[in-house]
Amino acid sequence: MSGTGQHAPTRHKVHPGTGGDTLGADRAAAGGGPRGAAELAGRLAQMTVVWYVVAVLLVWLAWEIAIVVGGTPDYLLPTPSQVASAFRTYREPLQHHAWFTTREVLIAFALSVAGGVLLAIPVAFFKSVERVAYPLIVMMQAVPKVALGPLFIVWFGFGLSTNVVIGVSVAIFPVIVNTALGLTGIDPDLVRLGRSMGGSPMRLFWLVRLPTALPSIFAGLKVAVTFAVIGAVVGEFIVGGSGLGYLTVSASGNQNVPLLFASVIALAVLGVLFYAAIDVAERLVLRHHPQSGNRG
Amino acid sequence: MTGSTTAKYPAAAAAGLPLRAEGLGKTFRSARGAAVRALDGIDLSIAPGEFVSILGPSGCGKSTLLAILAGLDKATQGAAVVGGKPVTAPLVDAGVMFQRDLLLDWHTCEDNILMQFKMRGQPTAPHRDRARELLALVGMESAAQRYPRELSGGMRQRVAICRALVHEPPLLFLDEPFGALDALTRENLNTELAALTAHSGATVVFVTHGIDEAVFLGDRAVVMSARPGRIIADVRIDLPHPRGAHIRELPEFTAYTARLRKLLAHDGRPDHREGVRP
Ligand SMILES: Nc1ncnc2c1ncn2[C@@H]1O[C@H](COP(=O)(O)OP(=O)(O)OP(=O)(O)O)[C@@H](O)[C@H]1O
Ligand SMILES: [Mg+2]
Repeated sequence: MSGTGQHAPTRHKVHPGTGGDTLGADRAAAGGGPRGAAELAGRLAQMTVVWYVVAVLLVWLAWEIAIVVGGTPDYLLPTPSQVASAFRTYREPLQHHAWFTTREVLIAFALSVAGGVLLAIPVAFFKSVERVAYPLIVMMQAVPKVALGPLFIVWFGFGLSTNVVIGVSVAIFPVIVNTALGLTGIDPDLVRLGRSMGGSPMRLFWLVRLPTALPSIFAGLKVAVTFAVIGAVVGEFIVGGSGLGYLTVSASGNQNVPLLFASVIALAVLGVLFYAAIDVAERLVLRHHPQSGNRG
Repeated sequence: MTGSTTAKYPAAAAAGLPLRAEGLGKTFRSARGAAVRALDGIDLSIAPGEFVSILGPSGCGKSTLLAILAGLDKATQGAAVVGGKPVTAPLVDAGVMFQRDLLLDWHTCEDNILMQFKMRGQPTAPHRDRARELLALVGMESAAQRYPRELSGGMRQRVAICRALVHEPPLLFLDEPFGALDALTRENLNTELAALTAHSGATVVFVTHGIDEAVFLGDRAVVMSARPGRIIADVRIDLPHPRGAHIRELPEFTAYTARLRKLLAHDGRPDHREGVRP
């Protein structure tokens, strides 16, 4: 994310005393070499997707090495081709369970965002609410959500709703905390200016406070979407029956390691896609906010 | 930019409002509980349509005074009275420009200016032309659709000036509006501001560190002492209107600036008067 800004700081940090370094850096920056290729490499380096591909290829390489060089038996570590064929063989159940997990995550995330932002407003605007809310939040976060699973099953039954509730119970906190932080972190002079323009509290909220809080809110959303996936999968572990989390447990029980790998990979892909969706939304919404200035 | 034709300026829409400070004082409580006296016994009376420049050393409470007069901060002693009524809430009739530009990063310059109407819940479309005119007046016509972070400090400041003026307020509170500008742009904008306020008839309180512009623009120049801020001099500037660039050539102009410079140097503190103790 910060890839674009990496050159300037290292160059400016050089102290006047270490003139040699400065010269070296300048020469490197002026760079004689083939300019076109360097430019292309630079442009590629700015594309996040490229780095994801590189990372996946590295994992793949390590995987192959572990099999070929390490001689790991395939009932512990299947070969990539075995996993690929598991994807083909189990396409239907994988799709079915992935869709189930996707729905859980989407609902849990939506509820966390709506509830989290709404709850954050009184936390941000009333000191007394804030004082009570933070101990509550800390206490709630200290409880391992897995431990609440059996209780939620009693309350909500063996189904999607229990997994959603577990998802919300983890994902809502980063939304509350970051939204409250963003709303309280506003420059008080900006509020005074708005009031001198005749802004009502409502208009100040929509026109100044909320837009100012957006970068912080998005930081919370990114954490929340990851937490929602974790919460949903934890729910599936406990509740069973459906979802990619359940599929991993069941594949593990059947010693079907290729399927186990396939469902874990499917979960990873889902997680990355959710995160990427928020990231894209953030870039769109915050394209004029200074914090996102050098992201291209 | 300086060719001041009357067409550029709105006719006197609303006459300026009279303004008074009566024994104004302000004590801040710092985070550690220590009391900081920022203002002390400020008495000031400003007639409708008068242009008052306020000079004083950094940290003497000029911005604080402006905020209290504009109803954005509460005095701890005394009261501010505007148009015969004590100030208890933000004066929405005023055009306020803070020391920092406070532009919203997610709006274009033009939309930042039009915030003045959005905040009031009024439609912005009828005022778009006026916003553009003002931008042109400060030499920023090409920046209307640009975003604040693409602008220099001085350019941002000029947009903030337009925002304070666009609703043609009868009262103007300007806190170092030209602080970030080069000398030439500053002088040009001084001339424009003089013409603009003369036409609109607004009452203006103008905080500045520039002695030159304080004299050039002001009907009066008020000098404050170092903290706690008190008024140590209130100088009537008897220079002809309209104020144009030629005024700076007058010997009276130089006399006023010299006098204010001396007042500021002495700062109202006896220990600054180099051995001369009354
Ligand atoms: N919110 C605050 N809390 C505590 N002290 C404050 C606060 N605001 C201002 N002060 C203090 O009050 C004094 C006056 O501040 P003010 O901003 O009015 O000065 P100023 O005359 O505008 O200075 P400058 O010319 O540098 O802008 C300063 O000493 C400042 O430290
Ligand atoms: Mg100030």
